Amino acid sequence: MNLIVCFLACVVYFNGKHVFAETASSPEALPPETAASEAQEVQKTVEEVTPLWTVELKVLEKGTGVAVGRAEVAVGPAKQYTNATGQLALQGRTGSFQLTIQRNGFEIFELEIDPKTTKEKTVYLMPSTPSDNEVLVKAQKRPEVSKKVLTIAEATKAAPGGDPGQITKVLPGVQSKPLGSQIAVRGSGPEDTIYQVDDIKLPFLFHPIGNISILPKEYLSQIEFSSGGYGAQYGLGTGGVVKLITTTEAPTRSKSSYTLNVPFLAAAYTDKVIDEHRWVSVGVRKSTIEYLLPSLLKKGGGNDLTVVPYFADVVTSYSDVSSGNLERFQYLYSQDGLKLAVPGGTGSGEEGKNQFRVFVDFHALSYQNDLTLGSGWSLHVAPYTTYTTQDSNFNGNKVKLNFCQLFLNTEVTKRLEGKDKLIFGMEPSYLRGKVDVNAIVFQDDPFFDPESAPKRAVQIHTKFPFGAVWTGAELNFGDLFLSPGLRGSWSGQMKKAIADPRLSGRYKLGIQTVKFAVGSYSQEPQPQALSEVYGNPDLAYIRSMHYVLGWERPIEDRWTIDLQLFKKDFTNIVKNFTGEYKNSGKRQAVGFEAFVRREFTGRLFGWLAYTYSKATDVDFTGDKKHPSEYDQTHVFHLLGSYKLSSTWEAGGRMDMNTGDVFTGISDVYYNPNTDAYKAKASANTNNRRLPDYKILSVYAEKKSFYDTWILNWRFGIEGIGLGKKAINMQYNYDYSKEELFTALPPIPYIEVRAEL
Amino acid sequence: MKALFLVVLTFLGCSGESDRVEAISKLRALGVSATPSFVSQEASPGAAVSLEFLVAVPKDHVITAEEYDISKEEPFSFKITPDPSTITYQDVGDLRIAKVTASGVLPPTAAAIDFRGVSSFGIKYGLTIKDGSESENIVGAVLIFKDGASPAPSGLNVSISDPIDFSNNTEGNIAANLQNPTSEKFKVSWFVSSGEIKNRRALITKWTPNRSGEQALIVTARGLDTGAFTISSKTVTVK
Repeated sequence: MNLIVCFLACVVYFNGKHVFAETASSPEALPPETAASEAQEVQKTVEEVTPLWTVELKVLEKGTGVAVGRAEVAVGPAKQYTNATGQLALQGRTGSFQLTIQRNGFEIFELEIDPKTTKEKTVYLMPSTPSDNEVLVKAQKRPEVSKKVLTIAEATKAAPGGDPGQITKVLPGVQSKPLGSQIAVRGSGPEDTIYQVDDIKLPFLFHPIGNISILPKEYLSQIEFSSGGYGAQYGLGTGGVVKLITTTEAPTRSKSSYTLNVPFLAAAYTDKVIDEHRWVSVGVRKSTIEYLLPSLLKKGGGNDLTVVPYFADVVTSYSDVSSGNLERFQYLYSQDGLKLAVPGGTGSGEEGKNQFRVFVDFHALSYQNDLTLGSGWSLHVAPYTTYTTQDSNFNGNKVKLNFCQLFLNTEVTKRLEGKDKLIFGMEPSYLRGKVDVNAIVFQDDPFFDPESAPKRAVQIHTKFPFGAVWTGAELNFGDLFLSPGLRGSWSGQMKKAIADPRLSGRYKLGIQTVKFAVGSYSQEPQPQALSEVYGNPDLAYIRSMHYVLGWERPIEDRWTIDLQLFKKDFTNIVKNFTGEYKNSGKRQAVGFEAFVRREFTGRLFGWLAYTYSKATDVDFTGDKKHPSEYDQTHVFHLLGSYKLSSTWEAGGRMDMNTGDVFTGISDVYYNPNTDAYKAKASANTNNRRLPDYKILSVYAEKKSFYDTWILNWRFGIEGIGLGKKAINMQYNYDYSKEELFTALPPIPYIEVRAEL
Repeated sequence: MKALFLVVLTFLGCSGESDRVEAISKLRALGVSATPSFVSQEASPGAAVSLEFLVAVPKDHVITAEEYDISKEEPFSFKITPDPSTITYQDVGDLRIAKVTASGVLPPTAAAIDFRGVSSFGIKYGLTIKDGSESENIVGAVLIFKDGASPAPSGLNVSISDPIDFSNNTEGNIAANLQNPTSEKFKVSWFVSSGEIKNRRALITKWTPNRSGEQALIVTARGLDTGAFTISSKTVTVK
């Protein structure tokens, strides 16, 4: 009461009313009952003179318009807090007053309010520069020895061009080519790696043009990458596993984003909330490079050259987490195409251009659900179907493929005591396909003339069942964790079955962990190699044994170090030297990896990844060992990003790798029957090496915050060469000159994205 | 797709007259005229073959010829011996077409060829022609046909059509006439002293020289069924 009286007396004073002051300055002390009575009279007078005002304050986050609850609102020493909806009703009898609003993660906001003129006030708090104190922890389902898990936020910062799907290119154990979107992992070829979106195996995960993954980053939550020694849940692959994980948490509000990436694409994405458990997601992306490239080529003098690359993708899904687990219906679509016309061709017309056209697309429709069955049992179902088309035409040689495949993936988990689990999985599938070919049949004959060889028309219809069953366990014995697994696969095309046992483990020694994995991995030969018309239907499965030994430890709470030794032995690799496909090839890849990672804190992030490896092949019995085409002795990546303020961020990446191998030329001769020069490859396969490859990429990102939306600007340059960026060797028409074929010049890009 | 992108960039990367197939600035093989160019299997063992090798070199250059042994790589081959006394030269523009004859005998093993469903098989020969430090290894084939499957003798003959007049132009159309009485499948090849030919495989196309003066224009045609070879050349004065 005394405080209120004093406060009111001050107010009266400042308003030119000195009633209380005169009363307070009376030299004589009044009796208590008289003083209290007089104070009440003063208060009544003050209240009659200065009515109570209310100002409705609303505190929202700048850029999203999301309510900021528990924001501290201070008027002088008095503090109050906004409610869950960011609202607070301020009341008083004063005139203008100073307000200070603050909340962890936001900049302090100060303002002055005149309650005579302001009844409602909405304040937008600006996010502050993130601290370096919070480390983002990632959960790893089924921890594996060589698995790396990255959030989309991390992957976007580190990946080439900011496309999270490309992050695997800068992880240890990976060899990549500057023009390639797929990766070679620990000596395995790009076609040996398994590419998935959640449980869905897709024909490809990346658009060849622009090296962009087929899903927008807004739809993704994590990227998982295993370079080897993975569990029995993955089959028909001897390389690694790249898995894009979609978001499973219900968004708290509807949001949209619109992106323009020059020169590559335009995109739109939205998450529409139905209620707190259900939402719909839609994303569309379309390339723009096909509209820019023709005019660029014309400026470069390439009037006779026509190059039209294009791509597009669509994702849409309905998700429901009301049961506590995710239920989702999803549709994915991706298309890629290239039209090419190059002068100097072989057509009979005067124009004489080589014409090439290719179109590839696929549709994937899927459903997934998790059910808790009780008594520790749970069921995961993920049926899906894919339809793939590939249509190509090269100077009249046509190949068209259509494949439809249905998968009925199911997984049952039984929780045992503690954290132990048993898992059983089934992956039956059925494939129907059609191949239409009207093309020349290439022969390994120096007198074979592709310009004049007759075409052969073939139509092949295929339908095959495939199946796999697998079982795995996660067993804890104190500090020892073991994960045995067994996978059995059967191919209706090969009419053969195969069994792949696997075992991995981790042993905690204080803060350090020692880990190992050993296992068998099998893969079907490529379809064309198994073809009854063009290939050898008696081929066997390609096999690979993986051996991994590793050690990891955290350093303080922000760094981790992971060292691994690996060895892979391949047998039954399919080779074709004499026009006949045979399982005659063998390969061995050995190496060492180091991965030093600065965990993502919202301020600073980065890593160093180094791989040393040797991969050697033997192509057939009696052949001598030679470097494999996937041999890259040293691969080094150093990358990082730093948030300079709440609005600016910068980052960069240095990539260095040993040059790729290729086979030199031992002799050249002119063939008068075909009017062409033919080079004889050296008897020593892969006996030469391109120069080492070193590039630098940098980016900066600026966020402009508006009340309810954010504009992101990302500027970057990919591939600033530090020396020659050789990706191949090319020869003139008679092989008398060789010249390094270097990669594209540094590609600057600018991406503008509006997030609503 | 990655390979396609490499193809695109390879073509984008191509540049320079010295890299163009049709522009001759050094020793360059033009073709081989074989007599006979094909033989039936029955007649093949011991059949004598005479081969006339044609190359283009810069004016005033001279050539030599020597055997090129391909027997280690090619089990079905026969040895030919060049005759230096048969070397002749024909000046065309700022080039010269050189000819040398080599001869050999088809091996007895030709009678045992397993055709494996095709109607013809090539028995290979090799020769090396040199012009100073430049050399061309030429490896061709004489066709052996299954008995009864031999085609009709080719009457293929090519000639450069008139007029070819570049005295007022720096680019223009060029054309060749081709006599092909048996309608054999054929392949055309144009050669020039300088510049670009829009489509060196077409009978009618366009030539853009990149220097003036007397230049050579050469066209060849080869029969793809019989192995026949024919050539025509002309001196063209470019403005």
